[in-house]
Amino acid sequence: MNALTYLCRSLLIEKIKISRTLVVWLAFFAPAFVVLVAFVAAYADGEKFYKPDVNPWINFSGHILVGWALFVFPIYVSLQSALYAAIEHQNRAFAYLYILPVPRWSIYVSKLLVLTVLTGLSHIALYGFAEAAGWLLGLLKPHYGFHNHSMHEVLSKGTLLMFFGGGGIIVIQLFISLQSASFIVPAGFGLFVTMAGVISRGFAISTASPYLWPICFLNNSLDMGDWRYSYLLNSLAVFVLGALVSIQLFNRKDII
Amino acid sequence: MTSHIVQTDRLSYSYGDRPVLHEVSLQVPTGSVFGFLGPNGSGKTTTIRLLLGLIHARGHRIKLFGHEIRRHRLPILRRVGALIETPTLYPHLSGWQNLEIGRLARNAKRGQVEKVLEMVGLTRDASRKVSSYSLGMRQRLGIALALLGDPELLILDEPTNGLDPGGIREIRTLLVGLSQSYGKTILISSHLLAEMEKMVTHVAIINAGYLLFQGSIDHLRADQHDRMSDISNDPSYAIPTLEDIFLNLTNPLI
Repeated sequence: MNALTYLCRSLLIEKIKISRTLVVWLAFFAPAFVVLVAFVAAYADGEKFYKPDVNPWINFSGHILVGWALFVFPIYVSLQSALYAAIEHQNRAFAYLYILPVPRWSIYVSKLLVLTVLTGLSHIALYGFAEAAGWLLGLLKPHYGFHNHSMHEVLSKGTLLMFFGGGGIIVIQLFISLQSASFIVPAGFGLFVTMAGVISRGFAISTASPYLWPICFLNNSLDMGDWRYSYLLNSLAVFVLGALVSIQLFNRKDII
Repeated sequence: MTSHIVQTDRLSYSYGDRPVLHEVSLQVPTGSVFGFLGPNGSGKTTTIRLLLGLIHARGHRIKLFGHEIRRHRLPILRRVGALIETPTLYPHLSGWQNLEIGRLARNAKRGQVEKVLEMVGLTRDASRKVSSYSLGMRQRLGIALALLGDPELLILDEPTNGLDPGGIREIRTLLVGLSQSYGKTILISSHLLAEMEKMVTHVAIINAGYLLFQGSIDHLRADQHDRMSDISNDPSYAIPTLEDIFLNLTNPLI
């Protein structure tokens, strides 16, 4: 078998394993949660936010994108990776996985791909839910003016590019989740690093944290010209380097 | 074909600074049902983990099928089916799905899943979630997983753990059949000595990381019979059971 065949088989195995688990549901629940909060706030208190002749999508999209990038995205990836790795840890399955005639790297890479695809799906869902929620607000509260304006391009590109900004978070959290048999360690680590990022956001040093790169990319602006694309490159670099280091470490790991 | 399917050469291993294996030279004859016996903590599972490449002993050569596991891990693992302690199963999936995972990893034919289910008597329960299985059913599913891909060597660590007498007998019948009908070599660790005595052709006894004996079961009996007769000065001393021998070797003061 060649490398691609091994990878395809490992991906099929992962597909079976995540069936009937909360992992897939969480991929849709997390973006739905952010949009729901923004929707309820807009519905209940929209009079404060939306002024006549001002595009309501600016405020509404801003709430969703910032809420997602700053808080929910890193915490969601932390929970998702911990939940995903728990499928193996709960069943003490690594010993079994590593005596199967498949390369260890293919097991790791398939898990990384599944987590990345799930995270990507969440961003597509975030965009879809945001558009749907704005459309619904336009129906329920026509005077907000949602049906008179749109922000399709900013919203779609913002969510998609934020996903690329999260590559560092994905690879770090997956590594911790696979290393630690405890669900608390990766989930807690992700939560506290996210909180630390939020608290220290005003300091220049905070931009070194991959957990802040999605929000650093947005640069507090919905003007695409203001977005800082260098953070996406940083994120992709950490993603690739982190994956290579993880493969090396998992190849050498003893399963005691 | 090599006459020994598993070979270790003065294999030693430590967990940190705690040595657990001391120069263990294990030789498992091809086609044998090889009982690997020892008290809890004697180093059986560590040896099995080393054989399967789950842990590494630097500078030591461990050969399966005449090849080193470190250098030829994948080709060797394709020819080995293993069950380590409690079987690793995904309880949220059905028995069939668990086997499908193993089948995909081993690149085995589709019909293999049904075949091994039939061999372990789980065909009717294959679509049920494993979380609803009894311990015995899980153990049988674990053996079915080890049988996928038609491996030449089965390495089973305590496969009868938690089974009732009927379940133990079923597993014994299955393993003896696999050895006799299909010529599979079976390396099996267990502390159920009476059961092992009924199925093994060869045996190795390990205690505190030291290999005390290995050879055919007949050789062991003859050897120990002579020794015990000498101690008791009674030439008519009854042929010792495996339990007598085991206790004599692992704790000579008893």
